[in-house]
Amino acid sequence: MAASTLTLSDDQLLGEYVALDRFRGFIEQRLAIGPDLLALLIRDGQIVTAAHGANVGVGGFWRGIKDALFGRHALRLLIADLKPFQLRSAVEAVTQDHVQVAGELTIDLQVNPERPANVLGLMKDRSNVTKANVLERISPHLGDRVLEATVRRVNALDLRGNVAMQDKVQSEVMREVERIAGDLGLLVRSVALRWAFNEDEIAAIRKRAREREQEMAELDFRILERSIAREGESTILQLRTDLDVEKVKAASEAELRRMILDQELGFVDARETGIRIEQMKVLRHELDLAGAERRDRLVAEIEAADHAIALARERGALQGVDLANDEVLRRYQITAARLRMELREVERSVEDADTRQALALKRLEELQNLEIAEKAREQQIRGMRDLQGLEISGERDRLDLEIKGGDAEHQRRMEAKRLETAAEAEKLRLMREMSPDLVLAINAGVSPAVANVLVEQARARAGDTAEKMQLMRDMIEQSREARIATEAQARHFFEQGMQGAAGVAQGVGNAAAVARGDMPQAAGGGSVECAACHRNVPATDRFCRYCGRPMRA
Amino acid sequence: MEWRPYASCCHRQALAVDSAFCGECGRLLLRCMAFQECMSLVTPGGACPMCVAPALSLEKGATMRSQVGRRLAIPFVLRNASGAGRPLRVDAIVARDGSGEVPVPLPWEEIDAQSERGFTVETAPLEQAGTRALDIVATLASRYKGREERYAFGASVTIGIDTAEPTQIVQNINLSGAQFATGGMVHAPVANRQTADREPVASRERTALAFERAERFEIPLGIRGYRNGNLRVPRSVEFAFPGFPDSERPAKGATIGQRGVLACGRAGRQYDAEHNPLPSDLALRVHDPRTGEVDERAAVFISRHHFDLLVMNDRLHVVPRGSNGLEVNGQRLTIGGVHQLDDGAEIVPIPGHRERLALKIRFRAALGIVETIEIAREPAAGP
Repeated sequence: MAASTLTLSDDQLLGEYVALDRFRGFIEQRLAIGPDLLALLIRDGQIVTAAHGANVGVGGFWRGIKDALFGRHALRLLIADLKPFQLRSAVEAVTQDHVQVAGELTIDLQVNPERPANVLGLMKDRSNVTKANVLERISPHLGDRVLEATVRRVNALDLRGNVAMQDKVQSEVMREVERIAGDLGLLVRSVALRWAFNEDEIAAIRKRAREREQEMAELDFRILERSIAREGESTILQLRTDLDVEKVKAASEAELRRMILDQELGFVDARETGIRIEQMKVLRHELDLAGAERRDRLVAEIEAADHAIALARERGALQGVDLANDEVLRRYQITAARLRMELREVERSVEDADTRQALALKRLEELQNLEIAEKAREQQIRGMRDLQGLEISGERDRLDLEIKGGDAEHQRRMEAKRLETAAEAEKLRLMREMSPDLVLAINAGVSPAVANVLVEQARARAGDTAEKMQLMRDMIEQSREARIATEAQARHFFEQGMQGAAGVAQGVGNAAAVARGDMPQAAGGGSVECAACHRNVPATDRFCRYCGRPMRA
Repeated sequence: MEWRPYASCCHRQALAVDSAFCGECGRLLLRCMAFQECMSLVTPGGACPMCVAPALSLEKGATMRSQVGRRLAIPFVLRNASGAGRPLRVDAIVARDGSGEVPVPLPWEEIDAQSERGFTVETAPLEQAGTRALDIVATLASRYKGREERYAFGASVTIGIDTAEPTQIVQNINLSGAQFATGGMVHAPVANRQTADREPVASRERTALAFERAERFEIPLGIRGYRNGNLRVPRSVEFAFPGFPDSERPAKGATIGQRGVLACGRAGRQYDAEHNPLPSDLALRVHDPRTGEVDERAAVFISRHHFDLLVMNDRLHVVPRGSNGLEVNGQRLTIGGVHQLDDGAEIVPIPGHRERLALKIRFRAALGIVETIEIAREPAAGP
């Protein structure tokens, strides 16, 4: 008999009820359910069994007769997908440095194959449940509890590639989903977050792009500068080379011979020039010598003339001598002025050339500075615009966060007040059910454990209520003075100190002495002195409790 | 004093607040410093089982498998299971692997009783494939009235590191236990094979770890004991007092077990309700070297309760109690504070007058355990 295969009617479905009645008929039908699907049979409202995959026989003649005779069972078959499925949800969060980030949360889920019957909890009254329904159910619990809490500890630039944070989110999501839907048979297999570019990253990308542009501009500038320098150097070299090449090209054989001859002649000329230079040096020396002699002679003459003038002046014949002297002096002055003028002309021409060159350089430098300043100003204006935009955006975010923080603080305070009031009410309600003496003890500041011991003691010792209350007050006072905090201390205190014939007050007053061992213990029925440390210890002790020495053989 | 494990009578006898030994079996009683709250006895070097009861677990969702070159963040939960309601202070947590120690940053420092705190250990990028052990060492402390006992506790987890090669994903569906034999249905079992899973798998349950006392780390990390000399001073250490007259010193073999401290001061050793309600364990008197009589004028510079000696964190400490202060190794100490004493330390009760009275501390140790602490009086006034 051929069997037809039952599957979910839609790939988006997670679970679905199958109406078995539509397969009932005169001929029995075999329905196969694949091993990747959960088959859950509910008969008369009770789960008969659940398994992975099944083969179902429905209808048939004999079953029809059986149903007609003994009544028909209400059968319902639930099939659910056991394969892992993936859900995606958009998420938003704010990072530690207050940057809003968005991303996509991907959760791999699976119906727990070890607890198949629990899938009924997802079904409710619907005939099917989709995977999207599951996402709707769990996504509200993952926002603040998991993503905000985790992302809040990380800076925006540290989100991308942060495997440790992904592990943490996975752990938190698993715990949350286990808490929400663990008993419904849902398992989380893995969780991953994919982040969109956030504002910090975009800003960093833009910044880097601008830096790259700047670097490229700098590189272009350097390349251009270098190419100009190279071109200048190569042009000069080329010109020199061209000149040499042209010279060589233009040189014929005769010219070459002539050049060689010229070189030979140049050599001879150089040799003769050297001889002449030497001769000229000798002549110049002679001339200098003669000049010096002449100058000395002239000086001597001038001095003689001056002497004569002085004498003539003295003699009254001043006029003639003055004229001759003035003429000689004027000739010398004219020669010196001509030489100075020539020297000045040369200097002026050199200064003129220097000034022109400096002006040209200055002009070039000014032009370059202007160009750089213009570019820097443009860059600064662009930067300020971006910075202003970022500041406005940051201020807006900060104001939003302050408003949200204020609201949350107000809610927390209200909640704290409410809890405080509830606790006070609960305390009053509990004290209403306590006995008056217990309330008295607790209100006196004694711990509940000690209060209980006090109540037991008072109840055991006192007869009527008034006496019990008075005794209770005394005991509370004594326990406060002795600073008794725990139940064991209270019991020890009252057993050791308050059971003596001396009464409550005397027992407390002598507690220190008893504890020191210098006073016999009332309960032990006597004490003995230790031979080693000379302290009194209860006669029942086998060892000295102060020095450890054996007290008896 | 040789310490023996407690018997049932010891806990009963310990309730008598001034006893140093069990009256029934003679065992030395060492109380927890917070005995008033926990009513617990402790071993000479051990932690109070009621006050210090930490439990470490791997948090649900922890991933213990990764690939070469990736980091791993492992969430842990530290629980304070103290039955005495004592808070547990966490001074430091260090993760140790083969490459070194990484301190775990903790935003919190204390865990209340019966509550828990979480922390995450991030590994360095994993360098080699295989299995690596990660040790967690925590420095925990319990505080009570100005005293603090610190201990090291450790646990170890194993990390599996795979190579970065691509792996095959194998889907497994467990079909065991399918019983389908009613309602006209036929059981159709499907066999499947198990394949090793190389993908990181997150744990689905919280995993408890064996979080045990790590004594071996305590001395090297300076938590307990003396790093210099690798020595420990147990709470059951004996004291000897050479140079003191018999009337001024405790009997031979005295311990600090009785009150947890050794009280030293001008007050005599004999209890008197009127004249000496708080006697000293060790009486400090200045004697005239010529006559041997007590120098009354010098004695006024020593307070009736001048200082206490106590054993804390396996180290000997001094607590100044007198208003005049005292001098330890030439350093002036004033009232309050707890100061460590090393082997060879010198205590001068009257600051600046070493010639009048000085106490030299000497440790007598065997196998790293200080068995006797000698407090020698200078100048000697007795045997």
